[in-house]
Amino acid sequence: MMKNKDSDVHFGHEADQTLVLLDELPKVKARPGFYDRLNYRMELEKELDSRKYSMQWVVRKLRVFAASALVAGAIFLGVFIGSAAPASSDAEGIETLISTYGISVPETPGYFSTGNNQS
Amino acid sequence: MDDSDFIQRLKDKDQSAFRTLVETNQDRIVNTCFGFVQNRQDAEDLAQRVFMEAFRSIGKFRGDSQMATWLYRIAVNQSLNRIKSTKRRGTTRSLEGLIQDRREKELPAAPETAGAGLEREERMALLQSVMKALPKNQRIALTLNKYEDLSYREVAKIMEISESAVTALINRGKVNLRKRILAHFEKSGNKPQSI
Repeated sequence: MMKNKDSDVHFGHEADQTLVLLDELPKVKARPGFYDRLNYRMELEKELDSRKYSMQWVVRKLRVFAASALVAGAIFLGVFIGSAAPASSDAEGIETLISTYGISVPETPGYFSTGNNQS
Repeated sequence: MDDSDFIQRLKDKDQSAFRTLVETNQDRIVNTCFGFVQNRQDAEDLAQRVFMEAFRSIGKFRGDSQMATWLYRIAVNQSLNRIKSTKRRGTTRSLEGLIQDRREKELPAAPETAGAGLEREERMALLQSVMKALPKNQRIALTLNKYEDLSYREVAKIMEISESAVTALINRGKVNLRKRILAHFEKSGNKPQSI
């Protein structure tokens, strides 16, 4: 029990001794040539920024160009599909079907006869 | 030269005014950043960022506080952002690493006996390590007050809080530091020499 108390006192003393160093914290100064290094870095960053900006400009322009090309392509495709389809009437459509699938329509007069004209 | 003239020249992106601003404030900004990141190289890198940010956003400076106060604010923000991103990347350094680092390059040993010097270094490393674990505002207040020797009034201006709030933060910070240091000694089994 006594030993514990002693050790608490000791630890407290150690902690206080460490805390005293709060008033002796190390101070550092900028190394010589700080402004020159800073200036060089700023120039470098400015250059990088301008390169980045010009790249962004190119990307922006490319994006606009690509979007316009896409729209123009879509319009052209629409026009092309529209003009490729034959301008046909219904009759021509039936003709095409007949010629394509070999469907023949029997031409029998009186097929729809009502029976009124018995001769 | 009048302060407002100087600020106007900075707003006009006058290089010589900017040079004056940097050379007048570089030491205090590097030291403040060092107080947060505890690494000289990182501190210089951060200080450069602080001045770059100041150069970029000088137009927003209203002049209702001193230029140094404004720079301190930028330095605190940049340092806290750096700490946050370092934590996110999971690159926190161990206490042993910190001690080793200090032994190798950071600071000259105190002119004492080797043993005492080492003990002092270890204590210092421990203190800096536990400071990192303090709540944000306590850490800011203690760093500005202890590393930069700024008065409570100046710290209050930088943090935009009252002087009494700064006093409370620093006192709570010290209590927390003591608790953490005690916990470290108890955990590491530092046996009392007198027993």
